[in-house]
Amino acid sequence: MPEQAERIAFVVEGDADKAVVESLAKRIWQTPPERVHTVRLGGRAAVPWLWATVLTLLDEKHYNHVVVLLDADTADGEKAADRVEELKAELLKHRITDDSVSIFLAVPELEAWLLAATEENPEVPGAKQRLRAALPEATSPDELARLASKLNLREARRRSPSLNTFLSALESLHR
Amino acid sequence: MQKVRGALERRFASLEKPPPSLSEQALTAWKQGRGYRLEELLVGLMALEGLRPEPAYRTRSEQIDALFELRGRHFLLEAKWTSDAQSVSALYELWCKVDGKLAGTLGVFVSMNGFSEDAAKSLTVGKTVRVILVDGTDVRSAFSGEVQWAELIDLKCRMAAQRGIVYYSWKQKKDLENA
Repeated sequence: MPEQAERIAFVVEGDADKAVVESLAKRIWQTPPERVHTVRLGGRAAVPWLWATVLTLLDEKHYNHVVVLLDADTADGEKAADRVEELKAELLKHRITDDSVSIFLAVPELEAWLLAATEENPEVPGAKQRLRAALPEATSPDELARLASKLNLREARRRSPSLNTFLSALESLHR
Repeated sequence: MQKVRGALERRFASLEKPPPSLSEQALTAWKQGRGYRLEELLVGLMALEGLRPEPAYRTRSEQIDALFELRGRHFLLEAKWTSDAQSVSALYELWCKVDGKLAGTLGVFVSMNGFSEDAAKSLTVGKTVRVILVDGTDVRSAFSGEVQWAELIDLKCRMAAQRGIVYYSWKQKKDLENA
């Protein structure tokens, strides 16, 4: 990771992820980096070509660092860690190293981070359904961003290790 | 033309959510019929853009959801609106249909709930790329008028030709342009 990244790009899957990530980043970075931008892949099917997106951001758009956040789609922390290593290995084939890209998986999915406000152990399967059941309006990106902006971060980080890892990385990336 | 596009957009929007108070049986039937209505609307969109579409047709051995032309190239379309992402076998079925057609013909697989990572990757491993992928985010962009269907297919063909990428969304293109 660079000491102080001033141009940071997020790569996420869709609108909901973009809304939550941008909302959390705003809270972590008191002084925002010079440029922050989010690219939505659109769907999971784009992941095999993640390298192309990351290369465009680094080489053509001149971002210092790219932060990739995807759903783990598993509640098994070990499997999620293996998946991160697989994705890193895939990027390395294209000479993209840890210095310029960080990969995180929300366990089991991003909705679990928002549930961490109310659930002691949110990283269990079915987070999306539980969030919808608890807050039926929490499907629009605006509403998800609002929830993220009000999340009790201290409690949520304690309850969701994957959220804590992600936010700690953002803190080290830019202060 | 705007009026027709507007009507297509409204009809598409009506497919996004089932009518309220349907019985369980009626809801299942509505969901099954939704895929066919999507096909019809896509054919309508292509007709509007002059892509000479032919609606669903069946031969003795296979069913094609639609055929259209763009810049002299023929495309076979498969459209699905299921609750799950499409798997390798569904994509391979279209790949085989395209394989038996005129050289240069391509397949366009539309799946509103996307594709598994493995399925997308399988289209490029050890074989010629013959199928490109369109998912719900792309379809919504097309019906909302954010992008023309022809422009979307052009983009996907370009990425497949240039980098072997079979799924590249309109959203990603716009986000990267603005980066």
